Amino acid sequence: MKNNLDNDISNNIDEFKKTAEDCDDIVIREFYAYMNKNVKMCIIYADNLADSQTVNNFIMTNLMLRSNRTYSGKDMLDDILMRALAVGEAREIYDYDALYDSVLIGDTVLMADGADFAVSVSTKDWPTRGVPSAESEVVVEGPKDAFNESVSTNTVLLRRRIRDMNFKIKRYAVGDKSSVSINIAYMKGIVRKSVLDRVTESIKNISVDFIPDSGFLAQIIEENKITPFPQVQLTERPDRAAWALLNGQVVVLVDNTPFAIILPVTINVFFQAAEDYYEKWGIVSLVRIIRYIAAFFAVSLPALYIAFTLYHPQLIPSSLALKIAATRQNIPFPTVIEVLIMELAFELLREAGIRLPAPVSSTIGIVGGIIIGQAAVEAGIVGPVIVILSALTGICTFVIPVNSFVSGIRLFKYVLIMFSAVLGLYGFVLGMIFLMAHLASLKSFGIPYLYPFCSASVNDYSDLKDSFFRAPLFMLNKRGIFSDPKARKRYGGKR
Amino acid sequence: MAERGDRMFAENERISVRQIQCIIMLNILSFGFFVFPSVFQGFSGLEIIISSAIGGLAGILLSKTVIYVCSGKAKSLGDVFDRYTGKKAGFILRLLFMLYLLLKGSAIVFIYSSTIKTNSLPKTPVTALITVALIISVYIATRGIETIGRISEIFIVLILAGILFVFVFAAKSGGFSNISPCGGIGVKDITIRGIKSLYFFQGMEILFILSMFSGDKSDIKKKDISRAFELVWLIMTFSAFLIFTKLKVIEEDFISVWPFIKVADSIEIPFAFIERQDFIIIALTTTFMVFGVALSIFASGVILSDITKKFGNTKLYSYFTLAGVITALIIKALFGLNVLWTMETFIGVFCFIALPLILAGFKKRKEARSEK
Repeated sequence: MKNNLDNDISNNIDEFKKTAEDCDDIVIREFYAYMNKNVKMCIIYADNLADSQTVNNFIMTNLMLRSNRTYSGKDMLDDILMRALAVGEAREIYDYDALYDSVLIGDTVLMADGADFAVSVSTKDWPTRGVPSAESEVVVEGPKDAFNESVSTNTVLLRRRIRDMNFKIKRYAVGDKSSVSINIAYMKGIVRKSVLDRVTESIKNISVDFIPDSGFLAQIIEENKITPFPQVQLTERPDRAAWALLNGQVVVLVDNTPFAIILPVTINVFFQAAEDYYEKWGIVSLVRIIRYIAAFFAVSLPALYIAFTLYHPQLIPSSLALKIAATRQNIPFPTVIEVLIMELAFELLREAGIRLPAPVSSTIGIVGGIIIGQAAVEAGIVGPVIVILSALTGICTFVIPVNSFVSGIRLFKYVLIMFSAVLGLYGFVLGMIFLMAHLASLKSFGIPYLYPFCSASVNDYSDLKDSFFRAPLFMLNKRGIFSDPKARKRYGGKR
Repeated sequence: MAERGDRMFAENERISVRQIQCIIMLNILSFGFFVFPSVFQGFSGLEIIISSAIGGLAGILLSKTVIYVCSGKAKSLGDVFDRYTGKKAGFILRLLFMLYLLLKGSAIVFIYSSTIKTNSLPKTPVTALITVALIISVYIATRGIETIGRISEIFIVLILAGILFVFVFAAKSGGFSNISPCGGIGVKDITIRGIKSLYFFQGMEILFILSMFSGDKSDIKKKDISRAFELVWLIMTFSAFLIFTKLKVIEEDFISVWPFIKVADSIEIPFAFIERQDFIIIALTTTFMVFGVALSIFASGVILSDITKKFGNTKLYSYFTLAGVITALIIKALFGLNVLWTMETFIGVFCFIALPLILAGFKKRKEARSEK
């Protein structure tokens, strides 16, 4: 199969028509130039992907009505490119692959008889949403805008925030069957070069049919592909992405998805919400501590309950132990089964709530949480303590700001339940050690996952100021571990 | 500092001096938590003087070797052995050292698991406890030195906090005798044999292994090494202090002079929290067991990889050494050997062989230098 464009426009059109057979949305318009009736020309574009007004007013009108050039073939196309096309972005293309790509991304391709190349004119006008409001990372105080599905819009949202020529964006097309535009954004001079190289390399080496979403891409580029814990962060907030860029992280924007990928990350990042930097340090510090405690409870509460009640009841204060025993008197299931029933019921409610429209999902919450819960307790199937415990565990998962990290916690909760059911508190501690060892073994593009709770000395312990607590802003005068060691000073100094 | 950290992150199999300190601490605690109280009770009079002298000598020799490795003059542990003792003797030493570590891992997992079974899980078979502990330990060991370093850094903080709580609540509830987990299995049954200076090796041996993974060799400063040594010697001195002054005397003085205990004594802690110290003991016991075994498996894996001339590929060798630990446990089950006794006797034999060899090596090198 030939790939390079031919001098004869008829051959090029025939070849294209053959490939684009049954693609009725592709427009192929053949015509003659106004002043040179012997030269056949042709434009090709995808209906609705290309802006018809641009095509009509700035390409067709100029070529058919206003152009008075008398060149032909290659010279003619060169002249048109330089003088006649009143469109900002245009480039020469020489092969069919580039031709197909141009048409399919909404550009208009112009061909002329006698020229062995074509001109791709930028006429993209995809149907997109406007700039939406953030839905999964809502803030009380702070910007409300969010990324949408257009990579161009998302780039603009970042550019609007970072007005610095050191803010760089590299474009790559990834996908064997359908190429998707992927933009790698970073701050030159702040980004860690080793991380940038690693990210660029891993994106260049991707070989898949199609990248449908940033979550899909994240799974491909993550180093440890088995772990349930995320090694990149997804965000829909441009302010958060801009903050990450200025901290030396790399932001990857994927076309057709409203979530940007931020990398590298550490576990600490998953406990930081966007508005943590818009509010006073005192309240943010309190909330941060609550998030960490919530994460511990989310992963361990059911397991601890099993361990204490089954193996070590002597460790429960007597009055509490008696109350628990009283509520469990007529329960037909063993404690482990009882816990699993409630946990699975909660997972079902959560899953049902997510998929349904908002008004219906609130009904599901009421039906599941109040009516079924109450009925199950009254029927003696489960004890009230378990209902409280499951609800508390569920609420704790909602406190953690990043959903992908919560998924890891939810999964590991069942591992700990299993350990506790078999070996009591010893099993629980063994499970926790296993969890910590697993997290300690993870790295996100070379940065230890548990940083700054380990290896903090590398950046003189300054990253601890933005971990369990968030120090006042004037004290956060040093960039984090993600940045180049030579660009650590954030305030009052040269980069 | 930052640049050094960068290299540490960029290269695999590298850890910081601080992480080395934490690992040493964990290693000492993991073995000492159970064995030290029994050592204290087993010591008497002349034994202390002899063991301290031998332990001190061994410590000096080992510390010299560690500095030698840290300063980048030697590539690995095997390199040190070879240079000082010759290739054949070096091979034997490495093999003995590896066997000692395997025995130590077996001893730790067996003693801890037996105690856990006796004290808390009487219906659970000890093999189940050992199996789960070994699986977690080998998981940690196979993650590599970086993971061990990071996790030690985090756990040491939790452990020290836990120990502090235990001491405070134990003092409040009436004495240290209540908190010694050895009480559960009867310390008199644990026979202290071999070289009584065994505990001096704790920390040193791991420091010996870890020094090969520390940062960039050119970055290792004398100050960093001395910091690591200070820590080890501090713990040793504290242990010796406990031995010489007898535990009971310490206990009384401790309670009367330590202000924190007095404060704790005067506060009414809700929820009968004193009873909850059991939870901390359980957490400490399990943590020490897992880390003790993981470190032994990792260290013996390092030596095994050194013997087979593929230094650094410890993941695979850690699995092999796990097999070694299991074999030791099977032998123990079949022949009813006391693993602790076996290990301590082995240490005695090891010192008996190793010390003269190393001393001879030093002498030989000194002579060679003076000739130059």
